[in-house]
Amino acid sequence: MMRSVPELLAPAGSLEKLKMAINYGADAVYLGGQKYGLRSAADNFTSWELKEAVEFAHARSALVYVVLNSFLHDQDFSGIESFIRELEDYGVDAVIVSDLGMVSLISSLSSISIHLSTQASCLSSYGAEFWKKMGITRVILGREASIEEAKKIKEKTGLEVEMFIHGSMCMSYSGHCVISNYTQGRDSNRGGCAHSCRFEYTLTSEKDNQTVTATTFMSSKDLEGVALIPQFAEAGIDSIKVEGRMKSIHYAGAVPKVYSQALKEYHDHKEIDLDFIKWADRELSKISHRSYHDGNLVSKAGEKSIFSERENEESDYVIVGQVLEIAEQKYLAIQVRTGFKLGDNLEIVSFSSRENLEFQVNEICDLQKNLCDKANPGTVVLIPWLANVERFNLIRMRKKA
Amino acid sequence: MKFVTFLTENSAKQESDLILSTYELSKHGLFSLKDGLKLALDKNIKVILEWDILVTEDEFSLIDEVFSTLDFSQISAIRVQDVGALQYVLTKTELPIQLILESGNRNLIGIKKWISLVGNRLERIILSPELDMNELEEIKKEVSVPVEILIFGKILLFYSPRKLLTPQFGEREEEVLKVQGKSEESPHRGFSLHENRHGTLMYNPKDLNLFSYLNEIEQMGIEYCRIDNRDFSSELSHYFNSNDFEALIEHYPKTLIKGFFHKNKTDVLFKKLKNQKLLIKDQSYVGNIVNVIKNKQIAIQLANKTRALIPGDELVLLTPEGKRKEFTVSEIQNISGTPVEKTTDEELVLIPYPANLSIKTAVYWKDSFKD
Ligand code: SF4
Repeated sequence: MMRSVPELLAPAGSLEKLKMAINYGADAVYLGGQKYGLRSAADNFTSWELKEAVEFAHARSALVYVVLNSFLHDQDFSGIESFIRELEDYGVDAVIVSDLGMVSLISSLSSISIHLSTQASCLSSYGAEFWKKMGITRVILGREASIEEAKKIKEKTGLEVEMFIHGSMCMSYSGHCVISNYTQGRDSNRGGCAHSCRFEYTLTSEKDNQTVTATTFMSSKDLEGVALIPQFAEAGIDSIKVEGRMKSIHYAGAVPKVYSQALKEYHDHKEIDLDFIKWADRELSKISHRSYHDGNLVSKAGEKSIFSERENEESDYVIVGQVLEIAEQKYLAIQVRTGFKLGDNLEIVSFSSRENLEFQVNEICDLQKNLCDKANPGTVVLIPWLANVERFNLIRMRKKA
Repeated sequence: MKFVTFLTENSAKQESDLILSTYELSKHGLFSLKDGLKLALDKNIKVILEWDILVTEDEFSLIDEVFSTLDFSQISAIRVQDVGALQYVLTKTELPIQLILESGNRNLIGIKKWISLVGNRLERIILSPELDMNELEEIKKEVSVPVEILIFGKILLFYSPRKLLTPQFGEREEEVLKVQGKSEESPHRGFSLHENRHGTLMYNPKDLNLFSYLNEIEQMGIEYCRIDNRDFSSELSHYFNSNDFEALIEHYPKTLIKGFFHKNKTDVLFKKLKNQKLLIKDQSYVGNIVNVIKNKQIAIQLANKTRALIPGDELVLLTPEGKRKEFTVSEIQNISGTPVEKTTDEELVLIPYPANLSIKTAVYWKDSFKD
C-alpha cells in the first residue's frame, strides 16, 4: 500500500499493550508467540490471544506482525508448521524472521509476507537484493544504517524498508553479541540477553596500564527520531518502528502517541516545527528512558551516543493507572498502579488529541462507594466522571520530589 | 582433516590453509592488505582473503576501492560473512567463496539453503561455535560442502561499529587499541577488548580449545579445523608448527575452555524464568481479578468477548502463585452497583467475595478449563 507517511509500528508485549499501542495511534504492531521469538521473558501471546489480537487490530485497520526471529537450532523448529498455519488462519499480516532456514521453511508452507528482522543485520542494497530473491517483501534494516542509506536501498531494490526510530539500542550489530551465552549460559539470540552491555566496567589499556574505573562504556543511549520524521517520509521509508516489547504499559501507549501525532503533523503541514518538537520532547521525557540520541540515522553514532550513566532510566512522570470503566456522568473506574491522594494533580493521556486532560483529584471512592482519602496501588477506585475521557486512557502524574 | 590458520610472520608453509586478515576487511586484521599480500608473495603462498566485517550501503564505496586495486593472483578464495558482501563477491569477482555462517545459522535447513543459493562457487562453510558436537555431526552427515570450525583461540563475544574505547583513552596512534575489561557485575574477569577502524570487539576471557576432540571431529568428517593463531607468540607458533599441541596448551597464557562443543544448553535457563501457570490464556479465560474488598466483593476485568459471564457460572481461579480454587458466581453487578444478568465484552464487574484471593488472580470457566 502506498502511504504518504511511513507506517507507525509499535511493540506489543502483551494483549493489553497491543490495545494500548493501537488506541494511541499505532498503524501496526509486532508481537511474539510462545516460541520462536527473541523476547523470552515477555508476556508472549498464546494462540487464543493472538486471534484476539488480530481481530482487535483489524477492526481498527491496524496490522499485526508476528516475530519469529530467534536464531533457531534444529530442535527449536518443532511445531512450526502448525503455528504458521494458525497465523495464516488468524489473518496475521506478516512474520518477522532473521534466519534463512525459517525464511525458506515459511515460504514453502505459506504465502504469508515475510519481513527480514533487524537481527539479520541487513545494511546494504547488496544484502537486501539477496534477501529479495528469497521472497522477503520488507527489510528491517540494521540500526547502523542511516536514513540516506535506507533511501538508496529502497530505490535500488524496490523492497519495503523499515527502520527503528525509537527505543533501546543494542550496542553491537544485532545478532552479533553472544556475551550472555558465555558469561550467563543464556543464549542472547534466543531471548536470554542479560544486558551485559549496561554493566559498569573497569578498563585497563594493555599498552600503558592506564585505568578507567566504573565506566558504562558499552551502553548505548536510547534512539529518538521525532525531528527526523520529514526525512523518513521524504526518503520513502515504509515503516518506522518503536522498540520495546518488554517496556511498561506507559511506554506502550505514550510513545506511539507521540509518533502518531508527529506523523499526523507532518501529513497535515509537511513539516515538524519547533513547537511540535518541544511538545514531543516534553511528552517523551515523561516516559522512562535513558538519554536520547539519534543513533546512526543521520551520521555514524559517535562518542555522544554512549550512555555514560549507571543503568537508571529517567522520567519526570509516573503512571498512576488506567481508566477501566466509565459510568456516564457518574464515575471513572481507575485501576491504580501508583498510589495517589486527594488534591493530587493527574493527567489523562488522550488517545487522539495532542492535548491531555489535567485535573485535580477532589474525590476518591472504593468500589463500594465508600469515600477514601487515597487510592492504593493494586486497587480499583472511582473518581468523579470527566468529559472526553475514554476507556483504557492512561493516567499519570508528575513524580513527587 | 586440515588445519586452517592465519598468515603471520611466523607462519610456516605446511599442511595448512592460510587466511589473510587485513585492517581493511577483517574485524581483527593483522596487516594492511598490501603488506599482507607482499608477505604471502615472499613466502610464495596463496591466501584465503578474509572479509568478515559488516558493511553499510555507503561503506561499499571503500570496498570498491579495495577491490579495484586487489591482486587476485595471490588469493585462492575469499571468505565472507555479511550477506551484502556475499552478493558483492558473487557479482563482482570469480573467486571461490568460503561462507562464514558463525553468527546465527544454527540449523540444517538454513545451512542447506545457503549451500544451494551460493551454488558451485561455494568451496567451504564455516560453522558456528554455538553448535554442539551432536548438531555438527547431524549437519555434516547432510552436507557435502567442506565444513570448517574454530577449534582453538579467541572467542568473539561482541562486535560493534562504534568506537567505544577512544572516548575513554583518547585517540591513539596504533591501529588497534587493546584494553582489558572487568566488571563487578559479572563473575568473569579479563575481557579482551579491541578497538580498530571498524569499531569495537570484545572477546571471552577464556579461549577455546578443542584439541582433545580432534578424533571426534575427524570422525564426523569435518574437513577443516581453524586455529586462531593471530595472537601467538613466536614460541607458541613454534609449538604449533611442530604439531606439539601439548606444549602449545601448556604454555598458552590464557585459561582454555571447551565452549559449547560438548553440549549447548543456553536455552534451558531462561525457559524457567516464566510462570507457566500464568500462560493459560485460551477460550476458557474469563479475565483477571483487579480488585479485592475482603469478605465483600472482587472486581474482575473481563477479557473474553466470545462468551458472557452469567450468574450460576462455575469458575476456576488461579492465583499468581499457581494455587487453584473453584467457586460459583451467585450474583454480578456493574460498577454502578446495578445487577447484571449477562455481561458484555471487557466489562469491569463485581461479584461476591469467594475466598482469600489477591489481585492478578486469573479466572477461567470451569467447563472449558484445561489444567
Ligand atoms: S548485551 Fe547489550 S549488545 Fe549484547 S545483545 Fe544484549 S543488549 Fe545487545
